[in-house]
Parts: sequence; C-alpha cells; structure tokens
Amino acid sequence: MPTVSNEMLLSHLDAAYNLARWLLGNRADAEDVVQDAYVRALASADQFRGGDQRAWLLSIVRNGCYSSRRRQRVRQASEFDETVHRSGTDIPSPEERAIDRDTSRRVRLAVERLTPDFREVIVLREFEGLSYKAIAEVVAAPVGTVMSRLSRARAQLQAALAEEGGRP
Amino acid sequence: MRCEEVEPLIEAYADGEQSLEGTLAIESHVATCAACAARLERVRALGQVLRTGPSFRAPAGLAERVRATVDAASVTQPQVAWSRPRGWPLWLLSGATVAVASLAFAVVLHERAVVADEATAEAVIEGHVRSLLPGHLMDVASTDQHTVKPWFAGRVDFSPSVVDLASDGFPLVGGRLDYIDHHAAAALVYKRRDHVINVFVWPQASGSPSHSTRSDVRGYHLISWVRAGVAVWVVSDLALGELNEFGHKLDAAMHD
Repeated sequence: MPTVSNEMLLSHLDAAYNLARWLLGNRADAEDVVQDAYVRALASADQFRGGDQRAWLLSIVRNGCYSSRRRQRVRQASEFDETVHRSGTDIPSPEERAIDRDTSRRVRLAVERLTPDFREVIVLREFEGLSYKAIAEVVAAPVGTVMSRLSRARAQLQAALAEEGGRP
Repeated sequence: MRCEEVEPLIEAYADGEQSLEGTLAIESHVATCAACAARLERVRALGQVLRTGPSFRAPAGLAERVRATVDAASVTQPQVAWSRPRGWPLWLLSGATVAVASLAFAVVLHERAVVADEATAEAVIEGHVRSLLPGHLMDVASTDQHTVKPWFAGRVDFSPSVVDLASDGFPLVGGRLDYIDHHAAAALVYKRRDHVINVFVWPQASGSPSHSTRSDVRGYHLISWVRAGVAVWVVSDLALGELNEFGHKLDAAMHD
C-alpha cells in the first residue's frame, strides 16, 4: 500500500496553488480550495492506488475548483452576500503586481480567456510540465482528449497573441 | 512521411511524447520541409512565451496554514467505530451479538438525536444565509468583546460567553439576536478573510461536548457541541479545516 504523507504532498504545493489560482482567478478562493484539497487528500489517502502522487493531488484540487465555481454561481444567482464575499479581492496582491507587465499581462489575459477545460490542460502541460498521461489522470479524460484539447487551446492562444500585434 | 501525416504528430513531438520511431520520422521530415519546421517552431515558441509568462507560486505562509488545517482536521475526524469491522475474528463478532442487541437500543436513541440535529443544522444554515442578506449581519457591530457581551444582557435570558480570537486570525466583528429552531439564540459574528463565520449559542441541558462536523451540499460547513449547558453551532463557507481550527480555538477560549 503506497503511503501518503502531508509533507510529501506539500512538495507539490506550488503546483496545487498554481492550478487553483488559474482556474478560480483569485487568491482567496485558490487558498481555500488548496487547503480543503489537502484535508480531502489525506482523508482519502487509502484510496490512493499508487502512481503519480502529484497528479492525484491535482485531480482533487481540480475537483475542488469546479465545486467552488458551482457554489459561486449559485451564490451569484441568488444575489446575496456579493459584497461580503467579494470585497477586497480586486486589490492586486504583490504576486499580481509582479506579473502585471507587458508580455506577461498579454499571456495572462490570453490564458484567462480560454475556457476552463482548455485552460487547465495548458497550465498542467506548459506551466507544470505534466505528461499527457498525468494530465489525463488529473482531468479524468482519455489521453486522446487531452491531446486534442491541448492542440485547440494552443491554436487559440497563438491566434490571441498574434492578434495583439505580438509574436508568435 | 508526408506533411498531412506529420502535422498531427508535431505537438506530441514538441511535448516529448513521441515514440522513438515517430521522433525519427518527424526529425527527418522537418529537416527538409520548411512548412512543418515552422509549425514545430510555433509550438515551441508558444511554450517559451507561456513559460516566461505568469505562473503563480504558493503565497508565503500557505504551507503553514495547510499544516495547521490538516492537523485540526485530523483531530476532529468523526469517530466511526462501526466503519471497519473487516479483519475481526469471528468469535469476537459472535460474542458481540449481545452487545449489539443492547447497542441497538442506544442507536435508536442516537438516531432520534441525529434527526433532531439535522433539523437544527438546517435552521442554523438558514440563520447563516439570512444573516448574509444586506443589513442583517449585525445588530451590534463591534470588535470589542466587552461591548458585545453586555449588549446581549436583557435581550436573551442567558449570558453568552463572548471571546475575541483576533490574535488567532478570526476577529470578532459583532453580534445579533437570532431565532433558531424555536428558541432565541445569541449570534456572534467572526471573520476570516472574506468569510463570515456565524456562531449561534443557546442554553441546552444535554449533549455531547465532542465536536460534530457536517457539510452541506451548498458548501456550508457546521460544527456543533454542547458544553457547560450551552449549545454552540458554528457555520460558515470557510474551508472545513480552517473552520475546525476556529472551533477548537473558540471552544477552548469560551471555557477558559
């Protein structure tokens, strides 16, 4: 039985946060989902069948992100507590200020405009360097689907970045 | 190989996911085909631009918060003694049948308590949601426990213990009078970042002092316990781990 410890999982904290941050678009929600994912991962450690621990953790983070987005939609639809929950998240944090520069900003906008299923494969492949197989595990889709999403996402990014007058 | 055959393989090649055979075929093709070489170059260039671009690193302190959250959560994992009977020797199981019969009675009582708890949980969530409507969160807005506590005197027939947990990162922001499940309750409002935590308190003669945790499909988490004749219900959409941490801090501070 493969063992899972919090300290081992914490070595993937940057990857976990990066994925959540890209999928949720703000720091507060990303932190919440990551913390929750670690609790869930350790609580269900006995379901870990071995293999890629990072991919397994990221799949839990990803699921958390999707549930969080669903909850937000419900919240927004019922139109209450918008001010309570959203206040303060628009102030740029140091991390946001640091990336708020020309090329970076254009790339960020282009990636943010991708739909979540395209955005997640780009983040996992290009930023985290995961293999197709690992990405397939995280997003719970066949490798072929991962490849075609990746290809379409790249085409969209190339078009978006070219459109704004830059290379490539 | 022809371009039509090579084209769909180029990305997997750039990603290092081609077989040796495919790799060799593509390399010999792009060596002579300018169009496919340009395609490959575009995929690589995009990758480079993306990688020099933004990537978020975990904020300082997140690892510590995760550790604290995980520790707090493991302390309050619900104790389900019946969940793992596998591996029990048979004689122990048969010997246990007498115990099971008497337990069944206890379970019936317990079930009844659980059903009552479910109704209260629903009422607590409703109270929480209601409090988030504009203008409903607080009757007395103050971060000072010595202002909030006396405010309740004369409004409820018990004296809720009001503690400040600002030093633990859960500042008190105020209180209000609420009505939960047919009784008046003191509602204390705390915050963690953007999250509101409602703590409902009312007198209750009996109940378990161990923390009982439940989560709701809408994403609300609840923790409840009864200690020293007071029922405490904590509700928030804060991550369960952090809410558990809050529950422990609050419990300890209230009964200091």
